[in-house]
Amino acid sequence: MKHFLYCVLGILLIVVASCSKFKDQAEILQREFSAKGLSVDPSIENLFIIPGGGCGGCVAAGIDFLTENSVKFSIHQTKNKAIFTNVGSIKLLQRSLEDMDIDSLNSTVDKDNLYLTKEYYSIYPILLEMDSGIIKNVHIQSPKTEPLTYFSYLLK
Amino acid sequence: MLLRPFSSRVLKKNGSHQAFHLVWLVVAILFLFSCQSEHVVENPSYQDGRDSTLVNLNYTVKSFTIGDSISNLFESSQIARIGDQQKFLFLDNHRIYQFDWVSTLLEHVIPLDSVGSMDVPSGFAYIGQDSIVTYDYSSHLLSLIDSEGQIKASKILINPANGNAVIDPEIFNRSRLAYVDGKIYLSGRVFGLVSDFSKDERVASVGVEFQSYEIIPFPYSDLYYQIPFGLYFNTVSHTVDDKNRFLLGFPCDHYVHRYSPGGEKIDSLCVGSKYIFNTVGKKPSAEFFSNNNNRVKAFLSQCSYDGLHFDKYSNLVYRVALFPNPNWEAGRFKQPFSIIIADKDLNILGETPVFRDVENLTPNIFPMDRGFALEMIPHDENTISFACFTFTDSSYSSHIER
Repeated sequence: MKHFLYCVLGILLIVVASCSKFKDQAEILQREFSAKGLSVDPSIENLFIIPGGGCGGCVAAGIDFLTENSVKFSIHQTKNKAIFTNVGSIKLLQRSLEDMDIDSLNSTVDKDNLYLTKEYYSIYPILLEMDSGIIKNVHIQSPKTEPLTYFSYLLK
Repeated sequence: MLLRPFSSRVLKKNGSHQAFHLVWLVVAILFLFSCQSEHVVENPSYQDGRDSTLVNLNYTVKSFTIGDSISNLFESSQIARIGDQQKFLFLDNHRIYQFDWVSTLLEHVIPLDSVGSMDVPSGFAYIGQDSIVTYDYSSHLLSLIDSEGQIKASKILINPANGNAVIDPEIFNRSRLAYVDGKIYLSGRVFGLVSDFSKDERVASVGVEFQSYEIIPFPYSDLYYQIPFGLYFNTVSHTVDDKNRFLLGFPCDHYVHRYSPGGEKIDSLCVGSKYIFNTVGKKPSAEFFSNNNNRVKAFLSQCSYDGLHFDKYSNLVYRVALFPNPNWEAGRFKQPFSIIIADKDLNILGETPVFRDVENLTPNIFPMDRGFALEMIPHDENTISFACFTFTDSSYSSHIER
């Protein structure tokens, strides 16, 4: 019985810690956005930031995620938006998007690297769940996290 | 385990045990600190009073308009002489583009569909109209093609003894694929630490005899097998001189190492920068490996050496020395640099600092007649530009022409 209680307590601790981590990530990024004076239109529900460099496989997976959901990121809607940051070459970016035209997307090329978030986040594509312009949740495409395709359901 | 003997019960039990454990603690701390210690590699030629006036710093600019579909971010390139004309060739999007150096017009496109995906860091060496060597990174395929992209011969670069890749060559501008006297030279870099391996386990470069498929390994310098240098510090620079000697340089090593075409070591000569007091090797932390930005920042925070190029026009060797850039955040590596100029016997003639123009110049060197060209940092996507430097008349007559 005692062992069982310890197990339950341990699991609870893990769950609480993991929840607080998500909250921390969102808070950290929101603080960074505020410090840079970045405001996100309240109508946007998902902001997808794709860096041009960093973890090559993760960036490629991020581009795949965008390609697979190109309709949901289309310029004809406002709920989902893509930001291309740390872009070394728009030509190479367009080449990586293959048949998908940048202009057909609700997207921005961040020439000033304002959305290039600090340290850890800067090398991975990140999907930000937004609520009235505030970051609610952060989903990272990295070798250690669930692939972003798990979160396709968030795109409306 | 280490802390367990220090439980209060044990300490109370026996005083000699306490002393024993204290010794253990000291040893453990010393061990931990030794893991973090820095290995300083001093430069014997630091502050040498050598000439810095060999090169006329007022350069001219040569620009090529490349249009909407070609990218100007290339990693494999060459300025080759075809007949009596010079051509600028570079690899982009599975093709080699050939521009005339004088007219700056696009003359020819060599399709590479038959030789692999040719993504970065794949590369090529233009030898002649019917002889272009290509190396495809993803398939390890070495090919000999003609100027229409037709394969004449091809081989997969694997070790016949065990079927594994010999090395993982990366063709960058600093270590262009070289083809001399039937032999192809390629360099790769070890991921992790060279010091974790022996010379038999990891080498820096290989020479491949295309006909017989004989593979000649060239090791890292002894320094690298002794001192831990991190990822970008494992980058290899090579060139082949007028006597077909294979020259190897490494970012943290002040010496250049010469080998015979057969792979025998000839000598190691100091070709260090007069501006570099030392380089530093340090076992990287887990944090260093976990984040690419940290790796880049660590690399850019200290002095190192980059490209090594033999200039067949003037029988010179150029070696690039890189200096710290603590302000890097993202994008292209930008570092102040200087160019060490040595004669073909590796006697240093001079060193030209290119400190001031770090926003415009890259250390990507192309030897030219009576000078060299440096690739410029592009400020738009449709142009490729070069800064063309010439030797000063006095230096040419007193040092080079002799």
